[in-house]
Amino acid sequence: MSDQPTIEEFRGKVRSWLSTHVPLKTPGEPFLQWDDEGVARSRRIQRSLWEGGIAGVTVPVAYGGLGLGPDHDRVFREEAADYRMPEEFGNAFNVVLPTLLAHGSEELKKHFIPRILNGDHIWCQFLSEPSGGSDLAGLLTRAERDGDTWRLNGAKIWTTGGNYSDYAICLARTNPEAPKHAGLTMFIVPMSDPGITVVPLELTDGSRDFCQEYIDDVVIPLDHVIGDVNDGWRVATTLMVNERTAVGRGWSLGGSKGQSEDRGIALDTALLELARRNGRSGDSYIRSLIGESWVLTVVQDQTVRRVSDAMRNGHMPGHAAALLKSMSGATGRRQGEIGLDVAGPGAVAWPPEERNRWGIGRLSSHGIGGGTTEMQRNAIAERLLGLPREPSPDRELPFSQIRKNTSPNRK
Amino acid sequence: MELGLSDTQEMFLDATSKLLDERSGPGRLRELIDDPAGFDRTTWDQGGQLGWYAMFVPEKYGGGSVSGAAVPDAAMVAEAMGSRLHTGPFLATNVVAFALAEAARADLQERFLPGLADGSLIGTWAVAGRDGDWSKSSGGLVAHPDGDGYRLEGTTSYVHDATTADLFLVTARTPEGPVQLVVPAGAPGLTITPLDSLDLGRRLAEVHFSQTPVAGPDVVGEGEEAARAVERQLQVALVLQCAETNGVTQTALDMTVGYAKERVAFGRPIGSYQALKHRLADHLMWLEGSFAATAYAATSVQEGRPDAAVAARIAKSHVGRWSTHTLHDCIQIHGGIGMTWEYDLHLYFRRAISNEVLYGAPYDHMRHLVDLVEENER
Repeated sequence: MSDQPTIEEFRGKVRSWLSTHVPLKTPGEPFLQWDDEGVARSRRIQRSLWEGGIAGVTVPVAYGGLGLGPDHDRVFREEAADYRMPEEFGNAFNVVLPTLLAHGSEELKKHFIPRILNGDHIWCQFLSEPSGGSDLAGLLTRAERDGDTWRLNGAKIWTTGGNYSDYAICLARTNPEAPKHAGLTMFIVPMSDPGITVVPLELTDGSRDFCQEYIDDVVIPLDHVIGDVNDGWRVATTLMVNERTAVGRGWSLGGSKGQSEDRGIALDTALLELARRNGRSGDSYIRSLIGESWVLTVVQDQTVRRVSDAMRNGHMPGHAAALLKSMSGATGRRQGEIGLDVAGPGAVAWPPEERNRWGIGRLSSHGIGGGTTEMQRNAIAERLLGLPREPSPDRELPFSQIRKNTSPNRK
Repeated sequence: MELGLSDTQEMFLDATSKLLDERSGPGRLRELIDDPAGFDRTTWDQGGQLGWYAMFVPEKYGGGSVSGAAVPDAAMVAEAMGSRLHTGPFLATNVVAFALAEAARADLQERFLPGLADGSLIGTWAVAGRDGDWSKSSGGLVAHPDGDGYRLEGTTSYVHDATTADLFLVTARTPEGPVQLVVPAGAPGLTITPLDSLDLGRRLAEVHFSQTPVAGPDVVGEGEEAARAVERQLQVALVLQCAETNGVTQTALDMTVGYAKERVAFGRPIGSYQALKHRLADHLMWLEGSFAATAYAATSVQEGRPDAAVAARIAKSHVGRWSTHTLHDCIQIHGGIGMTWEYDLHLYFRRAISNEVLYGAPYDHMRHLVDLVEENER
């Protein structure tokens, strides 16, 4: 510990490396850029952080990190606030790395963690399946022992960046005769395996950040298991807690300048300007709606700050992140309604040279991505309020004896 | 729920909570339903010893607040009061103390602040007309210039604790803009008509002024200065009101979650049904938003930040709207028992409804946000 840099030494080192090796953020650029250019740039940036000796601030030295504490991490985030961070490594750093640290074998940690830090490996998550996303423990992808290997078959969906990832952290069923939570195992799956077929998914608003994967006879070494065989649900729980915690602090690998410092409320005047263009800005009802939209936006920001701080300081449990996800679902829906009300018919038909987001906003104002609002409500009710679970037949019986997740056949 | 309190704030809150647990609560409120004052003087005085009315008063007049930040400290007390349905002129007196401490001349401060700080004087703010406008453009009262002072004419309404107040901070109109004046109880031409109140622990009244003389030394502020002061007073009132409402909502939600865990129907606790637990989850979520917005507004108003006017109105818009939404559902989820007089929930709902519209209803404040943005553009 004695050779640790002081906070100020570390700040100086980070500042000087970033200013000479990493590009600044550009206004309006997307947070994630899942295309050849965006991914290549992020690999270069992560590589550079590694070469500069500032990658993996809190990761133990034994696995290639700096072995520093939360104060150094905060300094890194403050200094990185204005720079483009390799956000396409978000799953690797926010989800996979802490899960490996908690449950991975020494060999897995020594092999895989440095390859995240040096920019070699982008990771995705193989959790949800086409047969069901909310009922994760009811998944159907199976792994069977085949001599000295595992053989995986199944399908996964809603993987962010699946088409650009090197590895996936993959939950699969290893014992169908056990109750559903007790027969799962967490695997490491190489995306380069010819048995993995990646198909991008297009969402209602035309975005294409998610993928679906088919897994056909993918062979996995016996030791590429995180945690114990059939103990994958515990590993998945760690994973999900880390995911929610990262969502709570904004997901970014860098930070915004002085995240805890307050820059005051800024009200976005887009709706007001829209109402003016439509000649409706004097209408009392429309003015109420514009004000309501601001209230929703600002209170959501304030709540994110409050709950994130509380989780960081231990005043609230990690499950409190469900409050934030749930709120974004609830406010998103109302924002969609308000946008449509203020825009009127202009939301559904517009001149080709114009970009109009109000109708699309209503169309995609659902709370599904990252876990449905309904699942967040269950988490809030059961984990924060302590309300009892709804009785269900699927938790005690062997998985092979319960009804499997199915969807109605689509034509 | 207050997060991140300092040790001294914790001690102050503990002492406050202890007194409130002993002297307040729904049972006590029921005892006070027919009491004209609506609160008991003993508890009021004990609160004074704890410093409940001293927070906005400078030290030289016997004031002070534990953290040095009066608005968050007072909000903390208001929340504790809301959770026990405490009654009495806490908000009214503190807003008057704030106004005099911030705006008034030294002689006015010397006359009134020591008494307000220790609770021997009760103050209340008379501003809204019958139209329920608490802003600087409120039009209930007219002040006619008269020598070095004014003569007051007209009616203000929704005045807190008018029959027990020792002094009124009056906001009135003149051709040159608003003016704020101190009028003692019993002033010539001042009459009070108590109103029936939905909140059984709240005492609201119309206060009429007929040729009521106000001498020059009792003028608190005039013109632009008074307009700014009215806005600041409204901000403080909104923050304290929101904090009180949050205490009300938290208690009602706790009662309902507890009930849903124990009440069994169709073979299991009703709280296990998603149809109910999802609603309770939403109420907790909106309540966290209420705490966040109120805490933000308290700090912003305390520091007089440029966004204070916006922050206070955002808090009121959110808290006002969702508190009554939650209280409504608390009664619904309780079922039959929830709609009885004997069960305490309606006492909480009454306060939440009352707080939703006093000092401006949510949609009034939402519209006012647009006004503020347009004013800034000019």
